[in-house]
Order: sequence, then structure tokens, then C-alpha cells
Amino acid sequence: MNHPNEIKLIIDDIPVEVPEGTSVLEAALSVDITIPHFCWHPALGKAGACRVCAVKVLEGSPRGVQMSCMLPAQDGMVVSTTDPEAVALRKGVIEWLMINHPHDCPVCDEGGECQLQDFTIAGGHGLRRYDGRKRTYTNQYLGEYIEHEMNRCIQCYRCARFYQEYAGATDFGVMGRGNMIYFGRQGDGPLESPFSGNLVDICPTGVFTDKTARFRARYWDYDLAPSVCPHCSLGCNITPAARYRELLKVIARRNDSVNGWFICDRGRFSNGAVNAPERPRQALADNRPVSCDEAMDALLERLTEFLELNGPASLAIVGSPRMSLEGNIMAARLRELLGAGTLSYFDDRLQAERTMEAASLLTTANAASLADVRKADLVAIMECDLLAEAPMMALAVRQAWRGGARVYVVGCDVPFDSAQGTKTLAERSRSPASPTHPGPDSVPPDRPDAPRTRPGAGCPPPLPAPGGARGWSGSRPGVCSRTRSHPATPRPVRGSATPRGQRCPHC
Amino acid sequence: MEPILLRYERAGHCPTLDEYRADGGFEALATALAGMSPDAVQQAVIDSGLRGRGGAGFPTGRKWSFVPRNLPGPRYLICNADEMEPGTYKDRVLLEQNPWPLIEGMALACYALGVGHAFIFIRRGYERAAANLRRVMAEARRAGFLGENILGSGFNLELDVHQSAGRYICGEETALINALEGVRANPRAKPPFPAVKGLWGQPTVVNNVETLANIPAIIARGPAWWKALAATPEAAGSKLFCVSGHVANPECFELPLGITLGEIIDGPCGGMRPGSGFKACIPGGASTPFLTADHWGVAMDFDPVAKAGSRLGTGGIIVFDQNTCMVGVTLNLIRFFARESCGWCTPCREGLPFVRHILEKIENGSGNAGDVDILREHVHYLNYAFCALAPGAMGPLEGLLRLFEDEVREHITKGKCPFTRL
Ligand SMILES: Cc1cc2nc3c(=O)[nH]c(=O)nc-3n(C[C@H](O)[C@H](O)[C@H](O)COP(=O)(O)O)c2cc1C
Ligand code: SF4
Ligand code: SF4
Ligand code: FES
Repeated sequence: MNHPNEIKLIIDDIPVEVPEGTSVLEAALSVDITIPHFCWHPALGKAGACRVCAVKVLEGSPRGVQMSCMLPAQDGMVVSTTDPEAVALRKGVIEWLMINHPHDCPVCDEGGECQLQDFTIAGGHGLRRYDGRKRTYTNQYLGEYIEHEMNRCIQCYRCARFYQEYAGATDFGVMGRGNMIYFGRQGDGPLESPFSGNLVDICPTGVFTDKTARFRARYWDYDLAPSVCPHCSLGCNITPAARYRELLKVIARRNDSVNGWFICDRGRFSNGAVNAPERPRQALADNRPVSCDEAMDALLERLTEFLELNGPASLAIVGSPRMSLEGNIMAARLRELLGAGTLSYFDDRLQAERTMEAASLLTTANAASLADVRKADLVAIMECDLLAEAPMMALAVRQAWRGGARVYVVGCDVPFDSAQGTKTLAERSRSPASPTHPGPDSVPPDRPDAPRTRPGAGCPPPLPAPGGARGWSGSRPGVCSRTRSHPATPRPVRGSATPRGQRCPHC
Repeated sequence: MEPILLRYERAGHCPTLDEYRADGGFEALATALAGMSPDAVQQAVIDSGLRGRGGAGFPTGRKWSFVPRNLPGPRYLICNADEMEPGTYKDRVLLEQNPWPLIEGMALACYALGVGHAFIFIRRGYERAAANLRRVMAEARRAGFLGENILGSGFNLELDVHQSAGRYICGEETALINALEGVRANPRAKPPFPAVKGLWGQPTVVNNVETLANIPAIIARGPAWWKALAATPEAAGSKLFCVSGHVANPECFELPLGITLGEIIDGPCGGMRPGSGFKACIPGGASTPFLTADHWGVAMDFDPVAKAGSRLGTGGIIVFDQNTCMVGVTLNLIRFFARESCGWCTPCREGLPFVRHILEKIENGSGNAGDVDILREHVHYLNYAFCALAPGAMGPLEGLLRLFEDEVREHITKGKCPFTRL
């Protein structure tokens, strides 16, 4: 049955049905037709900047060569992605982008996982007609985690749009004009956003690469496996990438109902412990190296002996709130199998009770996924420093706010600056059209003694504003406020003298 | 034709409020506020046939009619005084010599559109014009023509001057709106057009200085009278032509719209400089294709100039004599556009420097025949840029390839520029 606002169109002779408001680019992607695109990104939307997504509209309006990301699909439209005019324009755009792009893929860390490489090859651009000098830039030091190679930039604006609009930080953006625009910071320095690592995933070329894993492997060398981030309880989806049994880096894995396309820097960069040499890599039984199967057999034997000797009531199975859900479920299964007398997840009765109480309040009706939060129209944050406890929840709240939601902060265990930032958000969302934006250095009227905030004029202020005594600012990415007094523990950069990382002991 | 906008002849003198009023100044506003509905003011502007003087020539009354009347929240009017198009300086002349009709015209436009807060966005370098504007606005406010309850009618208008940080792209209306909001001056996607969703998301009309300055005369003397100022029945009103280049008397003149190119050059411009013969001109600012001696009789009005393969644009005429290298002229203009590209979209940001590189090669004598094809491709593909800057930049290049291809090829075959540089 046809939904009332379902649009039917034809792309390359394939009938496509999409909801109203879908762009032709998205409609094409929905039936696995790939139209090249750089500036469009599912989470950031359209920008119309790169002009590489050209298609030709054969029937419908407007006709002719159009940018598919900017073009809403309409009923009865007939679109060709293979029309010679559209193909020629796309090829021309690639030629322009390659005028200044270095021709050195073999020594670029992005090679093999580079959208520009793919679309350049796919578009058939092979012959260089521009014989002038290339534009070159000076790179910046952006901290220990992200390498900056501006010569590789194709000016798709994804990074600036993610960093400022999506993630609400202001220390990185676009500067300059014409073909000398620069994506960076005012000066060298670590990126301040706790979501900065997403620049690595989102940049379609090799401008931002994961410094902790550079030049260790090509994409096809990795052992990749779908996984879930272990660093907080949100369960953001990740893809750990390993080679030779060593975890090299973590990539965000798309899950629309949880983390969407992104993860926080803690999830991405705080995984050094995985590779710690002290971790047992060989199963032992009675201090004798054995195979895993042999070890399991030995374990079963000992358990059976124990049960026979002492009875099941004296066996306790211990899980942990720090363990994955799957692990904890397996612990419960094991208890059933063995008939163990005790199953425990907490070392503290009070904590167990509080957790149970909290869990009992959750019903299928009132539990909200991160996707729900992103679309919420009202958010109340109770007694919680979101950025420290569940960073991606803070990012989700920001998306709600960008969509017009009101945000309230309740409680005293909230960094003052966070509350301040949120308050400004709420005020501004009430009158988005107010011509009296707080100017630079504006002071909230009711707090003349408040620290001066500096909301980026015209763009939403950061949520919760970093800085102050307990935010993330000043700490290094990947570390919550409780770890403040301790150094962050990244995976060491190869060859650097940083000691091997350990897990944060604070939560 | 008796000048309307430039009727105070003493150069360097800006009339006082009393002088302006002695001449009938602010009578249009008084008439409108006392006895005309906002719709009647808009209708008069529609009837006058006034077309935008900012370059595109869009009918002003039609633009106003796109503003939705029933949306909640404020509407805005912005006067575009950015004027950074090379060859165009008419708005500066107006702002320095007679800004009164602009103030009155803005008040009338705001009354017609139901606007309570309007802005004048002025080019960075126009310090003198901005100072003059501020002085005149203060005078108008003291006399009750701006501010609250204007002329006792209950109509309120706040007017602010905003000095641009200074880039050509700030003149593009949506980039201008971004600049006014305090963010990067990149253009916005259209639709939605500013008339529906502009400044701070509210309906906004952007009009050029000269466009708005014409409105008092339309209201005071009637749309039919104003329309008949033009030289042809199809054209409407008078137009400021600001001339530069190899003419004897390069100045800004107010002339009937539809006057021929030859009449402008031989008339008020006093013909060519001694020793100079007319080779070509840019008719309406740097983004319009050349006209040649073949176009001597073309009526300088929007449609006839378009039919002749160019655009009336802003009316900024740049005249070149027989010793001018047209490749050099085009290169000079392309250098400007490449520098002023905002950097948002690929065709403009990367295409213009490519064109600049090739024109430099040709001008320096190292071009080859294939380069002409690359230039032609750019003329075509830069139409797919995000805003009108890049297609505009291709105006002179398109003219060069259509009218002066021989001259381009001569550069290539001779391996040098055939003109002696002065
Ligand atoms: C790159 C670019 C620069 C422009 N610069 C100006 C300018 O300096 N002054 C101006 O009035 N219009 C300029 N325009 C045109 C404006 O976008 C807009 O069309 C105009 O202000 C509308 O006024 P009008 O309808 O009264 O002509 C420019 C357009 C483009 C694409
Ligand atoms: S740095 Fe990467 S993401 Fe940013 S504009 Fe350049 S190519 Fe795009
Ligand atoms: S054409 Fe593109 S790059 Fe050029 S000024 Fe317009 S938006 Fe900016
Ligand atoms: S993806 Fe459409 S313009 Fe960039």
C-alpha cells in the first residue's frame, strides 16, 4: 500500500519509493545506486558545496543537470545518473579537486579507505591538464591523537560542520577564502572537543588520520569485527581494527538507534590496556601452557570436583557492572547450568539495590534510546555531568537542542559551566529569531559575576560548555573529569616514550 | 532628462535636510503614511516597472510580493550597499552626494512591507559614505522621519548601518545575511529565498541602494510619470551609469534607462579620449560580457542588453580603446573573482584559479591551442556553481571567447601578447 506522502520516482530505470523530503541522492542510495558525494553526509545533511553529485533530471522540475543532494525527490521524476552531461560534470569536479591534491596515495595513511581515491578512480579522471604549481599549506599540531595534513583537503566542509555545528566546539573551523581556505585552529594545540576523533572517520580524504595507528596497516590488512564500546553504559557500536593480534585503532560503527555515526574520544582512543603485555595471551593449566580447549576441560573438571565435594550452594558466580551485557548474561546461564547458589554483579549491596531500583523504573514505554533523545523536544538532565558519564548522551542532547528542544539541568552535581551553557541554550531556543544574539563576551544578566561565555555568534553555543573545574576542557581527550588529576592513558604512539596505558581506575 | 537622484550638482556637497525638504523631500513619505495603504505603496512600485539596480534586474514590486504577510515574527529590509563589483561606483556617489532619497525610500519600503527594523549593509572601504549616512540618519531621526511614531502615523522604524568586514561575496544577498548574522559570509542555498526565510530565519527583502532611492519619486510623482523618464516605452525610469576607462569624461551620470550605448559615450562622456578609438566595453560591472562597436545602438536597458549577449548589470561601464589587450582585461577581472571566491563550492574555488592560470599562460605567450577548449569548458561548467559569483565571473571570459577569439589565438600563435603594454 502506498503511504500518502510516499514519493515514487525512477532513477536509472529503477522505480524507487521514498518518504517525502528525501533527496534524490538518498533515494538513489536506498536502491544501491551510488552517486559520488563528498560534502553530503547522512548525519550532517546537505551542503551543496562539492558539486560532485550531479545527475540529470529527464522528467520533473527543475530539469537538466542538478545536484542530487540538494534536490528533493518528487513524484513522477525521472532521473539519470549516467547521462553524459552529468558524468562529464562529475569528472570535471574531480579534475578540479585533483588540481591541488597530492598524487602520492602510496605514502598516504588514508590510501585504501579514501573516498576521494574511490571516486577519482570511478570517475575515470586519469589525465592531468593543469600544469601549474600546487597549493600547499602548513600543517598544525592538533594533539597526540590526530594528525593534520592540510594538503590533502578537498574542502568538503564536513569537518567544520561536524565540529562546530554537530558537536558544538569552537576551537576548530574554517578560515580564509577562495582556494586558500584552511581547516584548522587559530594556532597549534590539542583539539578541545571530546568528539574530535570523529574527524578521522568523517574526512573523505587523508587530512585527519589516527596518529596512534598511522602507517601500521592498510585497510585490507586489518582484522575487523563488529563490537560495542566498553567505556560507559551507552553501548556505542565500534569496529576495532587489529593486525597481528594487536589492536591498532577503533572506528565508529554506524548504529542509528544508538550512537548514529559517531563515538566519543574515550571510546576511540583509550584502548591501550587491550594491548598491555601483562595481559595473559596463553591459557595455562597448573602453570603449564595448554590450548584453550584443554583449559576449558580442566576448568570443567575442577568445577565438577568442587560441586561434588561442597554442593552447589557453596558456588558463587560473579559478574560485574563493568562487564559487557553478553558476558553478564552468560554468567547467569552458567549459574543455571551449574545450579550455583549465588549470582552477584556488585561488590556493594547498596549499589546493587540502587541499580535495581533504577532499572525497575524503566519500562518499555519510558525508556528512550539515544535516537529518541536526538529527536526529543524536552530533555531534563538530573544530577549528572553528561560529558563525564556518558559523552555520546551529551552529543545526543545537543542534537535535540539543535532541533528546538528545551533542555533543563536539575541537581547540584553539575559543573556550573555546563549548566550555564545549557541555560543559554534553552533561552536561545525560545527565540531563535531574536536579533539580539548575545554578543562576544556576553554575561548572562542574572549572573553578573559569571565567567564570560563566548557563544559562537549565530551558531549554537556548545553544550555543555567545556571549561571550569569539571568539564573536559584542559584534560586530554578520552578522559572524564574524575581522571583529571591522572594522566590520560592513550595507546602510545609508536616510538614515543609514553608508558603503556592502563585502565582508568575511577569507574 | 532632469536628474532625480543626482540633482544636487555641487560635487562634494551633500544637501542638508532643509535643502532636501525644500525640494519636496519626505513628501512622498508623508503622503504615504497619511493616505496610502501599504498595499497601495507596493502596487505603485509594481506599476512603475522598477527593476532592481543591484545587478540582476529583478522587478522590485514582484520581489516584495513574495514576502508572506501572515507569518508570525518580524520581517526585515536590508539595503545592499556593498558595491564591490569592479567598475561600479554609483552607490558610493549616491551615498556621498545625496543619501536622502535612500532614507526616505527605505522608510517607504518598510511601510509597504510591514518592516520595523531595517539595515544598511555598507562596503568596508566606504568610510566617507558611511559617516555621511550616519550623520544624515541622525538628522532624519531628530526631525521625526525615523524612530518611533513617524510623522504621528504610529509607524515605527529602526534603521541601522552595518559596515561589512569587506569581501565581494558579502554583496550576494544570502552571504550578506550570513555576514549580518555574524557567521561566515558563505551564500545560503536557495530556496528558501530570503523573502521567505532570510535574516534570523525571518522574511527579508534585500534591495540595492539605487533601487530603494528611486521609490520616493515613484510615490511622489506617480508610477506613470516615473516610468516615462525612460528613453524607450519598454524601459522604466532613470538609471545611474558610472563610466570609467578610456573616455574623455569618466563620471557617474543619471540618464534615462534605454538610452543607447553610443549616446552615453558620445554624450555625457564626451566621446573617447584623444587618440583613443572605441574597441569594447563592459556594460554593467565586471561580471557582464563585453559589448563592441557593433552594439553602439543597443538600448541600455535590461532586455535589449541581454539580447545583445550581455547584461545591463549595475550600469558600471568600463570602456576600452583599440590599444587594450582583451586577454589582459579578462585576466585582470578573473584575478579579482578568483581572489574573491568565498571557497564554498568546487567549480568556483578551483575552477577560477585554473582559468587564471591558463589566461596567464596565454598572456605570457606560453599558451597552446588546447587551452582555448579548457576555457570554453569552464565557461560552461562554472554555471553549476553554488551561487552567482562563478557564472558572473565567466561573463567577461565568455565575451572574450565569443568576440575576441582571434585575439586570443594571436597570443598563442605569436607566443606573446600582440599589444604593447603601457
Ligand atoms: C557575487 C555577488 C555580488 C553581489 N554584490 C552586490 C552588491 O555589491 N550590491 C548589490 O546591490 N547587489 C549585489 N549583488 C546582487 C544581490 O545578490 C541582490 O540580487 C541585490 O542586492 C538585490 O537588489 P535589487 O533587487 O535591488 O537589485 C551581488 C550578487 C552576487 C552574486
Ligand atoms: S579536512 Fe577533510 S573533512 Fe575537512 S574540508 Fe578538508 S577534506 Fe573535508
Ligand atoms: S560560486 Fe561557490 S565558491 Fe564561488 S562565491 Fe559562490 S558559493 Fe562561494
Ligand atoms: S554531495 Fe551534493 S554537492 Fe556535495
